[in-house]
Amino acid sequence: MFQRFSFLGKRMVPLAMAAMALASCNKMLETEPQGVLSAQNYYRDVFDADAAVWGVYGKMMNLAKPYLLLNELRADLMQPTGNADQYLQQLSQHTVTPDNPYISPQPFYEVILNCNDVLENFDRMLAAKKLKVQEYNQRYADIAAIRSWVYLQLGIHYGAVPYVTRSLQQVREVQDQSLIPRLPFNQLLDSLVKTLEGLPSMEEYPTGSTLRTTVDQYNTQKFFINKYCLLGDLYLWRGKGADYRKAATAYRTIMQTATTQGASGDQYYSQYRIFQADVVTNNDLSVGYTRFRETDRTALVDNNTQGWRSIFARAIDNREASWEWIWALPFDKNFAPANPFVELFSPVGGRYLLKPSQAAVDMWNGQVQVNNFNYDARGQFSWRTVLGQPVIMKYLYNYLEPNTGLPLGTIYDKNSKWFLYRAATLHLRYAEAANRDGRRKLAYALVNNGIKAQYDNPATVDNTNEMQTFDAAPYDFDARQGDPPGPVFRAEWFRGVGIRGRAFVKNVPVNGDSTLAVENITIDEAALETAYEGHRWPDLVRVAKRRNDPAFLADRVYQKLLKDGVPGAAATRARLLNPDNWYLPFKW
Amino acid sequence: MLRNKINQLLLVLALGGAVAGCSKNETAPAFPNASVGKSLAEVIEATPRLSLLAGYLKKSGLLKELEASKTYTVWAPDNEALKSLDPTIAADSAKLRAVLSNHIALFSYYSKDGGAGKRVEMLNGKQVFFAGATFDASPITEADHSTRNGVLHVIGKLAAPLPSVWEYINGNTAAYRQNAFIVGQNYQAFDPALAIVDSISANTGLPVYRPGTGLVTRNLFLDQVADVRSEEKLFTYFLVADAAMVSETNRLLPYFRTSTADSTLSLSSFRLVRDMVVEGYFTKEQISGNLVTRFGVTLPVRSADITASIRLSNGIVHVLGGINFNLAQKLPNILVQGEQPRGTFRPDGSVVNVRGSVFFRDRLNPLTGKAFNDIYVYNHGVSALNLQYTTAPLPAARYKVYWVAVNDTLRVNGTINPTAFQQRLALGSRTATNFALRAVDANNYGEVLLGEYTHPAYGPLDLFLTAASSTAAGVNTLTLDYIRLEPQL
Repeated sequence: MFQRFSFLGKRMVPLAMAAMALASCNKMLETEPQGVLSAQNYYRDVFDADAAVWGVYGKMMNLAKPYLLLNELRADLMQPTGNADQYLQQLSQHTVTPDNPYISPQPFYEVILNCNDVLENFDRMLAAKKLKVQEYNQRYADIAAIRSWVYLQLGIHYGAVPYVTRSLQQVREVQDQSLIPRLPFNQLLDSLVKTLEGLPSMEEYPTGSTLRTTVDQYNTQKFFINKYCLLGDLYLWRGKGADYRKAATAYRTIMQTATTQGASGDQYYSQYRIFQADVVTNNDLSVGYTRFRETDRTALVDNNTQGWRSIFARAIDNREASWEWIWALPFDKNFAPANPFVELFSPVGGRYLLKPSQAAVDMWNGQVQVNNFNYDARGQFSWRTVLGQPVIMKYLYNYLEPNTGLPLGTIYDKNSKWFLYRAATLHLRYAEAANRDGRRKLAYALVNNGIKAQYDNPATVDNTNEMQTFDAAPYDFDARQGDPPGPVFRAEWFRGVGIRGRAFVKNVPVNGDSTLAVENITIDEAALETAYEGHRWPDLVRVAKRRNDPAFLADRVYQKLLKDGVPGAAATRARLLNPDNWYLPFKW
Repeated sequence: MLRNKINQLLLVLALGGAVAGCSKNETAPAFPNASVGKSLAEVIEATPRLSLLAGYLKKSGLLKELEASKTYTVWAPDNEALKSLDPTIAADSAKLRAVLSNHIALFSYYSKDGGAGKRVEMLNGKQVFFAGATFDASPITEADHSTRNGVLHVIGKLAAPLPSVWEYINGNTAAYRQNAFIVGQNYQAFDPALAIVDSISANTGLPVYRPGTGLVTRNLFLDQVADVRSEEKLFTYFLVADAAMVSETNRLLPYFRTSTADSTLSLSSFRLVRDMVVEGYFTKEQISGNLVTRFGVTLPVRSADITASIRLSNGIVHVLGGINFNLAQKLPNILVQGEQPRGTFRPDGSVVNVRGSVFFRDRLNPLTGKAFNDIYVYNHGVSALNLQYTTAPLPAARYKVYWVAVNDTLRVNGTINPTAFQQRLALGSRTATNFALRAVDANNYGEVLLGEYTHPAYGPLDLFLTAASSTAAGVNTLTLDYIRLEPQL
């Protein structure tokens, strides 16, 4: 026996030596390669720091596709088409197998490790005085917030995840549970809240910052994550103690942006306030009809520059769009990364893998518009029958004309945007927090037709003591509009018409004035307003988790599968009644 | 020592494996002389039990085809089955070919492919039922023999090609008026794709076709009811005895009054026969008044009414002694949709464009719970404006006339609530005064009976929804969801 081993050994030795020789090649070449930037030399000044920030955002854009698939396809508004592969079907039916390529957390961790590396280098730069304190604070806070946002996504979809805040050489090290333990979702939320609360800066990059510029013809102001919104979301998720009040405070800070930044004129009354329609020009973000033709379906304002549809079609730095968008990133035909949305949604130039679920279609058709039409036009803006097929349109308005099914430019001009956060999202989240903090009426007002209408006594002319909440911060709103013969008022919130007011649908009837009823209204409205923007599954999980009521989530997914005739709907419902099954296996 | 034992054990295991492997070959080939390398033609020729078939195939020229490099499946009738072949067919190679090609299909079909039963297209274009163990009505005695270019099954009975429903109708015109009537619906049509172009006209730039070319025969029944020639589909066709054909047609005659007795008879007969066929294959036992034709008429047929049934290549014919249709189903209500007017006119019949005053509305009817679209014409400034509608040809009858006209909030900004206005319906001509002006009640989503109207002869009917004789906004409004014409039988 020994002989045999030694024989083997003799043959193995040269091989092993050769292998070692190859491995040690790196060390032999001590000279730095020409024309290559090494890590030590990368971070020299603020422009290098900026480049690192762009690098993180560039990497983050790779998450657009998993973000959309995980957050929408797992919920109840989206269905795979017949073109979709079995793995997309699995996501929709909650029957994922470990080989499913869409559930890998790897792209998320690539961003996280990139953030960690950048943050460590920012620390070094600060220590070496290569960055001013203010520059450091802004950039550090931004990147730390992005990392927290990615972790929140991971927590939502995987439950317990490895929480890494230092740089690693290899993404794969994350997998090793002996090195990095997995943090349960609730503890993760604690850590993230702590991170956000401790950020050196909460504000956006100020005007004049080297990061407030134009990149590839795009204004960068809305590229960056909004830290207050993220902090509000984290409080809302955690829901401990005074968290709802804290969430409302964080959200309210952004809702008041126009006031705190000293904006004037239209911007003062409109920015982030869900402003009213301009019935004359239709140059607004409302569902609207040509004036005086509001009961003609052919008069619906349906184009890329006016009305509710234009929220998704206008350039982000467009005047009205910038009053709505808080965070959005452009995908341009000329620049990587490539737009994933055309591939997912478009029957022209794409693979048409996803479509609206029947449950979603029924949801919009169950509304009544102010003109008594028996649907919600946001439905036909969110999806449309294009070339005979139901197509999710929100991401395609810069690519495809829905009525003809023709591309706007050539079939290769795949421009789009990744929609991450807008005023409607903000108001809905604020309403959710306010409702949980005992402000049912305020929440109802913001979701329906606004504070002005809900706090008004139509019988009186004098509005001095109406149209206001008379509440403490962050629930103090003044939405007074007074006209002669009464005293004249134009208070800061007078143009706010609420989510449903802007969408031209009637208020939801109050069915038992309770926290749960108003919360249901809020979550349902979020589906109508922000469908396919990546909020649905988190909304369902958050509420089901908060109420400790898995059926809240399971029933909705069940209804989707049932209405689309997908077999196994009841089994999926049963599975989702166990909250452990809301989370994906942490495998890649 | 240990090693030896292990080796022995391995040997035993290996042998065991080999033996187990052998058992897979237990199903010995059904054709001892045949081999996979031979073509279908060679196998058939080499099999004594198929010698008659081989001879006939050779005579019909099909044997040569079965040597080709395509893949076929042959359901081969054995000598026993072919003994009964009519000698006149056996003597005629064309007839022989017609019969035998009903046993050969392109592509390979093993018995597992037959499954619970499927129709397989044969070389003659007919589709034959193949269910793994049976072919047409014949059991398969030996199945799934593979050859170089296909599969061979042996059957114990000849499967002579059946006529299609259309061939059956054409072959039985003397016995049944119904068939004769259907065949009588043939007409000549011009198909430019089949015509010969002589020249291109220098004046019009259009082709000039050679006279007498491009003419094809078509049939109204095939066009409008069901293409019973198609072998891809299955039909169930009902055939009534002549007396019933006459009596049922007579019931319909009054509703198809025209200027000539001939066309009245023809229209009535057509209305009768169009409900004599349904898609799908329904045996006598499956029929119990449960079939609905594509025109929405329930066939009043139960299995006891069927006197004979004939199986065909693309369906089945059931012969009936009589039939008694429900007239109300034969002559259904007519709906005229308000949002689909032919145009807007002044009282003198001249066209007027009031598009800016026309509102197409999407609503939910709270009475029915159903969504509907309607039209609302407001502030158009034309005295006695009328919207014209035209129905499809309408049976002559007395009708009850209803409308649903919803008078509710029109605008949103600067709300215009329902105002009192009147409109009227004129039937037949713009100036007719069948019905007087009638107030359109606010928020009434229900049907309103306007009165009765007698349609004198079979033909289309013009309807005119006419506004009040005023140019004032709110007074001359028109609105209409639909008009319903209910025949009084």
